[in-house]
Amino acid sequence: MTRRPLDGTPADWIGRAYDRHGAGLYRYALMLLGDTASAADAVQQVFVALVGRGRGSANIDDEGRYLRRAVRNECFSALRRRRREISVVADSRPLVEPVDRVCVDPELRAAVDEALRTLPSEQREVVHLKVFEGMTFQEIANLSGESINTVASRYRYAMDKLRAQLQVPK
Amino acid sequence: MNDEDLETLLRRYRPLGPPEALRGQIMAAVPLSDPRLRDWFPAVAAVILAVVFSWLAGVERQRLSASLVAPIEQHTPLDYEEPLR
Repeated sequence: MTRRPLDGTPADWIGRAYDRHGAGLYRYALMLLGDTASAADAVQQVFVALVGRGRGSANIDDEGRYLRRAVRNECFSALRRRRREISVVADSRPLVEPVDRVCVDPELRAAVDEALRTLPSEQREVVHLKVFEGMTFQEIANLSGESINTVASRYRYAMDKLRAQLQVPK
Repeated sequence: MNDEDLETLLRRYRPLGPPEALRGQIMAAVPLSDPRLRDWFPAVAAVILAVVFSWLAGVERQRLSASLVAPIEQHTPLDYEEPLR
């Protein structure tokens, strides 16, 4: 639990917050929204709103958790708007990149990317937080406001779908 | 393949990172002034206006008092002269 005083100008403290959390928040937004432009918009919205919050953000105990929740809210708002407007997002950029560039199998990468894209946002969110960010079901439940059983079910469905998509035997 | 193996396979990848330009875009959207200071702008502006108007009123009072003529002397009954008949 750390308090982060707003030292300096807004540009100073927003810059520091972005350097600490920006990349992780963008990756989370990308996995929720499925396209790079919307993910960038969501992260930008959150940081601009943080400036508007001004003095209030000095009392944020856990900056990372606060920002992650804010990005989540922004992404689900964007998804609701997208459903209302029945807009189709076409993004040719992949969702994932290999961690180790030495052993890259382009076909497997494309298959993982495609498999992740077929998941509903809620399931993709759980996979992202559990697999890529190493969070526990309890932590994911706290973030999403869902019960731990719901989170675990989403994970189970997601893993079954991924297994089927990647055509690997159980 | 169990969940653990599938997770291991997935962990060979990670979601794409943000574009380089994103930090610049966010910083460009951040206002230059501190919102904490902005909260005090109306109060500071009111104090400055009060001081300026008070100073202007003082200057105007001095100018008026300097330009006004001396008050007309009052005639006392002793000065009164009976008109000639």
